[in-house]
Amino acid sequence: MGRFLLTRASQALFTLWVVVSLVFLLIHATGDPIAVLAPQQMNAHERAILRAALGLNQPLAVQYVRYLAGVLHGNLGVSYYSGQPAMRLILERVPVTLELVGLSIGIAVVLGVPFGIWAAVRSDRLADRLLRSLSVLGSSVPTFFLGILLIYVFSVAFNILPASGAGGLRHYVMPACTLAFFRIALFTRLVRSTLLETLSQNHVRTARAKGVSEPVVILKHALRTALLPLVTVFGLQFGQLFAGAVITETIFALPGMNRMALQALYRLDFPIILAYVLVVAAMFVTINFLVDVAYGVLDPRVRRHG
Amino acid sequence: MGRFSRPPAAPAVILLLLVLAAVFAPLIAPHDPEQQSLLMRLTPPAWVQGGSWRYPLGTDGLGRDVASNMIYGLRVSLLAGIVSVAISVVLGGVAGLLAGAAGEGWFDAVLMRLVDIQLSIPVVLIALAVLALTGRGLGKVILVIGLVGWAQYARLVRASVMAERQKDYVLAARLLGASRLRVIFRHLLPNVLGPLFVQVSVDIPRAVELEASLSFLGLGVAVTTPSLGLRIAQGYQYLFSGAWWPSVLPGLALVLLVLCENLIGDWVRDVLDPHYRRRRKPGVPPAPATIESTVP
Repeated sequence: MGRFLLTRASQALFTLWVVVSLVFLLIHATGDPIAVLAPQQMNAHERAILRAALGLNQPLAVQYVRYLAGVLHGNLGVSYYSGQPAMRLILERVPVTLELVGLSIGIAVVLGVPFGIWAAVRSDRLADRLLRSLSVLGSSVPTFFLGILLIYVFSVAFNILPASGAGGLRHYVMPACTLAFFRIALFTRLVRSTLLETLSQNHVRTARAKGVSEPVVILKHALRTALLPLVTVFGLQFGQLFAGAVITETIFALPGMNRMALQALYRLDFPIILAYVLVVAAMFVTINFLVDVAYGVLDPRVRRHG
Repeated sequence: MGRFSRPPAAPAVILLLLVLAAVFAPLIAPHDPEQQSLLMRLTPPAWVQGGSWRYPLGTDGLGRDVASNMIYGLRVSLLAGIVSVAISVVLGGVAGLLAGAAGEGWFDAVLMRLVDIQLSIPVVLIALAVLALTGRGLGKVILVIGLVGWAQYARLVRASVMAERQKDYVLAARLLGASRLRVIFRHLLPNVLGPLFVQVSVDIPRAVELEASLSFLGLGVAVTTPSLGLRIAQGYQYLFSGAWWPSVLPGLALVLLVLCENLIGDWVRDVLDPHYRRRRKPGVPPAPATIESTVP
């Protein structure tokens, strides 16, 4: 187990380094923040001073080393606009995003898993058809349009939920449902198909032959084996949810880190973008690492062949 | 195959109509999509009180005809979907073929690591970053969506080639003196086409959604291009004053297009994926749901 953990951890760190370096290159290869930052009337001399003040006159290699050192210290410079430390600005917004993502995963699991078990137990044409239609529909409605429809119905027409801003739980209802919508169908299908597969396996047959009651067979013996693929999807979905949160936070004006990063993108506020990418990449890598470890814990075969 | 040999009728017909509308947009659209008539702004659809048949689906906040913008928007959506996926297929396909044909080695290892990294970052984030830095435009959007889509194809083609090259017919071809390139293009490639086509049918609706999402966020096409996503974003601000048609109607057109493409994609998978077909016998569960989600 020790070696397995070590290999996975070093792979995770390598991925992190690649992502961080790629973003740095991409940003510096394509945009000149001075062109965006400097007012029209600023002359060449003043522009040069501004460039030097932001460290943008250094050779790219120097900037890269400084940047890496900054990454290690958790110091990514200050926002070009507000002058506050970029890392702190992003970290302040993390809780809102985590609440949004956590709530929507929660909704998807709480609705999707029982529905999937039900569909597996009653595996007939009707349940199958209903599920297929729902999941096709779920993957055909873009997040931003679903958000708009919800706002029109619940905020404009009936006026029972707030359309924007952060505050109590009420502000999270529509954004979380928007994000969860597609995942409910996804989790249901997944639980159903893996559960159906495990229900025909030997250990389940043995349990039944022993006279174990049907609910116990399903919940204790079959569902546990079926959890493995769910863990993988959970990890993959986490990344997708973050991407979806960019759009959801924008529509519902939730002050999360994704919305802040999008605004920083519009005005080429490099430190904020870099801080955001670093935080997101770190979260991805951590989640993937945890998924790998969970796999190793749940299935000894993975550990051995690591 | 039996009942899966024919495409589902309704989605096929609707998709055909949408494609025709997009192709012949200049002939069908009642107005120039760009033409503004400020006196007629926010005219509701014809069937709502205050609407007129001059603008069957109403006008938006600048007095542009909603119906015409939807028809031209379909054009942009279809163009973005098809061209970008074609770029991904060529890029990823070539990379995958090379990796698969080269076999295990440094090239394969590096390529697969890159694929893993690419797949672990949501496509939307990469596309957003690139577009924010390079500026917007339909060509750029299509190129970016095409570029970030390569990884799936590289992985798919590599896996197929790896599986196929073990088989006897490849050995036979090599023994007959066929060159390496000939084996790749003449013998391996045709066997990879099935899964490739399945992936394409899944990816086109995804690319359509991605273009719409990027344009919605203001980082996609230029402001004057009649993209459905952009029009939804522009109509969104009037939602709160009760004018739902400039955002909801283009949105419904987008959903209809993507839905039909997805249903056709499901059918393509049923027909072409033997793994899936085998498991759809009565009483046997269908293939597991795809774990990669669509565009957020």
